[in-house]
Amino acid sequence: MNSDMEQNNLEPSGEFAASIRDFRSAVTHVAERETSRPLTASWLAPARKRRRNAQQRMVLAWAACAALLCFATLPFFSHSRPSPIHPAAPALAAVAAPAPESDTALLEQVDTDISESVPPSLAPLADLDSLNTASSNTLGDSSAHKKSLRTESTNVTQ
Amino acid sequence: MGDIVSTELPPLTQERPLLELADFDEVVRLYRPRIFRFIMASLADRDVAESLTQDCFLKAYNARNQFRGESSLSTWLTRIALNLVRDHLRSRRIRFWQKTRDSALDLVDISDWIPDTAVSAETACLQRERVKEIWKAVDELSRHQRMVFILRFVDEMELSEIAETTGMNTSTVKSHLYRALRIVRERAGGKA
Repeated sequence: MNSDMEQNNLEPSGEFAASIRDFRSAVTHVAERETSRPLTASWLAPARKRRRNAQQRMVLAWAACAALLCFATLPFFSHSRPSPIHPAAPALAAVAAPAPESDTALLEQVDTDISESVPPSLAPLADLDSLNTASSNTLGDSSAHKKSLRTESTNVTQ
Repeated sequence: MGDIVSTELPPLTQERPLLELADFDEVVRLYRPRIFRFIMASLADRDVAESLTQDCFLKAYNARNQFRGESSLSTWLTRIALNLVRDHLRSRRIRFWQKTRDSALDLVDISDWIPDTAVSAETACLQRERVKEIWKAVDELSRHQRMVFILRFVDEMELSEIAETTGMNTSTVKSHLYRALRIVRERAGGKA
């Protein structure tokens, strides 16, 4: 029912059809007037120029997109790669390089300090220290002597 | 379509064979008014219509090897023009801030171009008024409705031809045409 009604309504009639007819005539007359001028050889030249410009704009747009994409993804690539030498490393190396010299100087200073004469107030302690050293040496000698004797006796028994 | 009179342009039934595409000047001469009329009725802008007509024939010329004759030459050219109109409307929507339609035909201006059929001054005035109302109503249709309306009542295409040209199925074409006619009838003062 609806489709029949729709089909009937697709064909205008009466005054409405006349209006559409007049509309069509007016449009056709304007079109005829505008296209009545004879065509020149360069009639399509503006269209060619527009087409060329459009192609150039397209190429430029793609190039700009590619450049933007490169700039946008550059940080990701630089982070994912292992960093070669940290910028602070040379500074640390420079600080660490003179270390042997300072160590040597420090040791020399320690030696100098040790080799200083014992102050008088600490003299009894120094005597004690030398005594301890001597006794330990003596003890070490006697044990070595005992050991050598034991070795000799075993050799004899054999 | 019994009420619609025939156009002054060469009728669509005079299709030239495919081989005649080689004579492109002849193709332009034959179809330029029709393509211009379709674009101008769609956009109501003489300058844009001229530019898009040139673009249409340039595209057709560049793609002439792709034309296999599966559809008629006028259908093929109208399809190219249709795509150009669609692209233009899309770009115009994007560039909405730009001043567009500078050279758009005034509705009163187009109504002055009704052929003189030796009618009385009063009748002529009524005709102009009706044309003005119709064109205003057509201009306010949606893109699909306007396209189908123009193809049907200006280019006088059959529904199947419209379907082939627009890539819609016939029932969609009917639906758009039905709505377009209803809107135009209402907005043109309910005269039917």
